[in-house]
Amino acid sequence: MSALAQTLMPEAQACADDYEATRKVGLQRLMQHGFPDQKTEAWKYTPLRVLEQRETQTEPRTMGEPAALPAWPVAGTLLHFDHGILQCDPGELAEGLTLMPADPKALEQRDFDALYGGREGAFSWLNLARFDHAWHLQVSGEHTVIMATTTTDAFSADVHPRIRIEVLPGARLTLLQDQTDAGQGLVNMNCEIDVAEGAQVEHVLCCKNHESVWVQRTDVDIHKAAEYRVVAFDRGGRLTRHDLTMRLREGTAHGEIDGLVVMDGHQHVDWHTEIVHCTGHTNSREAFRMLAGGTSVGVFNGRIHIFPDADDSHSDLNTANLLLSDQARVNIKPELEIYSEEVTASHGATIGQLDDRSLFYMRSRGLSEAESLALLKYGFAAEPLMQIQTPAIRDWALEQLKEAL
Amino acid sequence: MSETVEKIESRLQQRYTAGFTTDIESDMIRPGLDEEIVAMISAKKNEPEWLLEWRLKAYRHWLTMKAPNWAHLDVPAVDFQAIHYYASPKQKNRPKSLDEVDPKLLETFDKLGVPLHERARLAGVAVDAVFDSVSVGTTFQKELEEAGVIFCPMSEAVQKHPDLVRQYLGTVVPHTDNFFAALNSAVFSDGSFVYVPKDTVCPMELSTYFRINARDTGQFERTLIVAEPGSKVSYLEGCTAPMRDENQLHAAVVELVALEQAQIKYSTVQNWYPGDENGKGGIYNFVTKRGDCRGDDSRISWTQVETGSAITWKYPSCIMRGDRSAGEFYSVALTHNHQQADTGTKMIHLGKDSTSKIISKGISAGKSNNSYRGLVRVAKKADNVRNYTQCDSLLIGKTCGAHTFPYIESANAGAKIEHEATTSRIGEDQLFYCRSRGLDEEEAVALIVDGFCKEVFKELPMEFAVEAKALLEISLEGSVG
Amino acid sequence: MLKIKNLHVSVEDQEILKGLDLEIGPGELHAVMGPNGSGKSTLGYTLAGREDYEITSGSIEFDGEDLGEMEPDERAAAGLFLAFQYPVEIPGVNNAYFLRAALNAQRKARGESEVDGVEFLKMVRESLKGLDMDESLLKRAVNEGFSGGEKKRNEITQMAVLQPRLAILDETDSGLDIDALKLVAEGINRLRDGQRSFLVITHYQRLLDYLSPDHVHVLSDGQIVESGGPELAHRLEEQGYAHLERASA
Repeated sequence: MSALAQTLMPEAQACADDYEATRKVGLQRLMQHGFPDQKTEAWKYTPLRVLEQRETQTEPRTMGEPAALPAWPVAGTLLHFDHGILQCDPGELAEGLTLMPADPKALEQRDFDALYGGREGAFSWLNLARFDHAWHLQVSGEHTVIMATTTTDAFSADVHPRIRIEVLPGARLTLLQDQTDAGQGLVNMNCEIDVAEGAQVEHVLCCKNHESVWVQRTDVDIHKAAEYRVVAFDRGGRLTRHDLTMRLREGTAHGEIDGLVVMDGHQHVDWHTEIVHCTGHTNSREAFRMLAGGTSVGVFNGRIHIFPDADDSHSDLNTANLLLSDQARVNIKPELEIYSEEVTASHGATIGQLDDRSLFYMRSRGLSEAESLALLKYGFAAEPLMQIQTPAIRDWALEQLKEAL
Repeated sequence: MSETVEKIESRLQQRYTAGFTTDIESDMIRPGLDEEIVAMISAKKNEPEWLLEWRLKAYRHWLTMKAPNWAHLDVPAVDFQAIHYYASPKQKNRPKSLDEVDPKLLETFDKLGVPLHERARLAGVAVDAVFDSVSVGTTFQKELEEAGVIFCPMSEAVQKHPDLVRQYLGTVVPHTDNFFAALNSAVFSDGSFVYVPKDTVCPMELSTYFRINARDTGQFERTLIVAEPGSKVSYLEGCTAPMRDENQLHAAVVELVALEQAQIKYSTVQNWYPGDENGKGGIYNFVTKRGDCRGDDSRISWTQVETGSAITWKYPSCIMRGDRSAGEFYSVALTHNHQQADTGTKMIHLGKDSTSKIISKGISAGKSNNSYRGLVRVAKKADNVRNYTQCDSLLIGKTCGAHTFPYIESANAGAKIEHEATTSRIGEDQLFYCRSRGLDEEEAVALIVDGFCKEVFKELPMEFAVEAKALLEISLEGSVG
Repeated sequence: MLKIKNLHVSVEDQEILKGLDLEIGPGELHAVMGPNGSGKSTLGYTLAGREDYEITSGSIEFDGEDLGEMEPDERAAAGLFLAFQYPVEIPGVNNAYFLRAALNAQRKARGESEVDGVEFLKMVRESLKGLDMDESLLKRAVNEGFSGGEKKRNEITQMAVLQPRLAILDETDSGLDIDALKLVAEGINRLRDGQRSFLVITHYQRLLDYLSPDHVHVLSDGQIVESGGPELAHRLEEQGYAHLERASA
């Protein structure tokens, strides 16, 4: 593991700017805790061998033209991270959107220990130690923001983009996050979303990864009468890990997570979601589905955590998983950690295969076996995507699903 | 509602009726653990050389291990050098029959509701009574012998059936398995040995009653049950300990081997001293129990009712090695005051068409924390596996916690696995409904909790289902008016 | 059209059909009645080609072809339709999309051109109207959350759109109230054109009141034990099946 620390944390990395103190904290914690191994509970199903075998470059980072961008179904303000660097002129944003460097003092005062913990949070500490820029986007009014993350074939670096999105009281944000990679590097992204009182966020996270290692952490705070809904559509990658934590901070906060992972080949995808009811009168739900083909490995850890005295909290998590090949594996762990009495919390989990009866029913109506299987898979996979509220994005995602199956 | 909670809470401040101490002289070896102690225990039991070697190997391995810290438990450091690893009531020789057993011991088991003498024995249940580190007597020996069933203390089995013990000991739970299993393998004192021959249905329930009495001792029993092809046996254990301010350690190992078409049913009613309402004292119950469905079409069923112990760390598990083999786990775990429980099961599917079922009911009250932790694993070659898991938690009061940590791992595309978990409290509407039909609050709570646990109680042998229900009711009783 | 000779069928090594003979000509409507466990549903599933329904001996010919050799979808393309006793719910698959995909798959297999969306919608709407079905059912997932009656009417809608040459209706009447029963019967009658054949499997005679069957057969313990005209159904209704069960016991 020390080799990994060596590669990713060279002594001679230093950007002399206002964030030095924050980076020092990140570095110190990373050195103290180290990188996770398979004895680290939160990483037991996700070995880092692929990353250990790679030599990523930290400096200098040579870049040519940014990667080409696809067409999106909605118009919006584009924040494009290419090789971890934001390709955007803060002055050119639409009115109501303010992009600025994060306040260094605010970062220094944050209690990151409570957020990232120990060894399990190594990549978050790494991000804190190594980020180039820490961005802060403020949103007021009603906006659609497209946040694209790309790399090119020549990519062999490790990059640590960092952004905090603050959705101000009463604002409405549609956030389409579309990310893909080329090359063989490490993208270690950290995203914070703060949904202020009465604000509403629809977050669609689409990722299609290839050979790069992708580690991403998203921390969402939801305040009074605010709503946050995320639909994640993950089409796999060589090694990807997502940590999505949703904290219901104040009464009447509402949060929903829908997830779909479609894996094939020798992909390894690990999703850890956590819903934290910090206080009472809060509602949440989560539905997460994985389809594992080829020799892929899917990991899903979904935790519901209800604090003491968070009475009248309600949460339900459901995960359904399909193993589509003899070589695929799925490891799932839904968790409940409940410290309050007047709550309802439940989860259900299934692992199985496509239903024989449905298959027969479809074939008896004239569809071939292949057509029936494709339609059944599509039906299973489409449900989480149907939760996307913006019709154009929903249809776009469903089109992509057809392509993926 | 808070008034209701208070009432339920006060009802949970049960008096621990098994908390008395028996005043009997004890033969204890010095506290501490080293190779000499291991050799002393082995010598006390007049064990063969191979068994001493086996113990020493386990001890040396234990030295390289660390106590597990992954459970949702707050375990104070245990000073393993302060424990007496062997204590037995002083008797001149091992009694040849129950008539020779010290009357004080007989009286102890009488008080615990487990009479051993012939006139008062439980009908149809053979009992082996273990007091601290040794077995004081086993009932119905003759009747069992006639059926060909061996049911005796482990120390006796080592002498009389050394080949059987050697063949199976440590084959389900190897000494390397975990910290407490290694410790047990080094210092195990007594426990029960059961052997059911081919095509034999054991003519009666077998039961072991464990009693910790001596101060500063640990109890490290080891139980081994072997069911030959086509045989069937039902076994029950019960446990109690005196009320003491210090914590005492109980680290048992239970191994079950079911060969082709054999069936083993293992039931536990665990009522070790849980400590007082301030969390002082109580037993640390760190137990490794595992059943191996070694033969095709074999079946192992665990049922546990866990109401005692300050800390419970226990995962009775099944390995479905044989094709079409089946594993079951039924559990009720009640925690209150400062009790902590992290308990559940592991269902490891290796055989084709194997099935497993898990029903877990957790009840948390007071300042306790109660966790279900379970693993369902389907190996690559295990085709057509079925598992169903249901975990329900009931919270009583605002200061307790109920947690569920299921691990589900499938490497076979033909497996069907279903898991469901819920957390709730006793509904006001349920209470109101019961009361409007004439039940008082206490009766209503008892009724609802009993209903909540029904699926598990019905798995217990009849005599013990009554006992288990009574045990829960005691926990829910005591503050009338 | 359909010729079943000495058919023996086993499910999980248990023989259910034990030498069944049945012949259905073009345009005929046959009813098969019988007590629970006589093998009625097994007959339906076997004709539709469900896996695990193993033909151990005997033969089924459909238009001169050996049905036993065909996959379920090939049978559908050849014009065979089974209305399920318990229609399967398929979450996530749109009801209209499914039906159109099925129709076009069948047409393609027969070398016919595909039906476009507009034409398809016209066909479906017509069928729905007669069945008093709400169009919103088309937008929902296949049978998901449908009431028992809605599921059965959805089966009849599919039948009307797919236009099979032989329709097998497996206890389509069960769980329907009298109004729904009439609608379903009308739906069936509308499709009777002198060429299309029907095999109606039922426990009760009441559906037959609206269908006027050409032949009625009694199935008991895996065999047809009696055949006759519509009057046989009435006799069974009066006498019940008890005498059959005694005879086979």
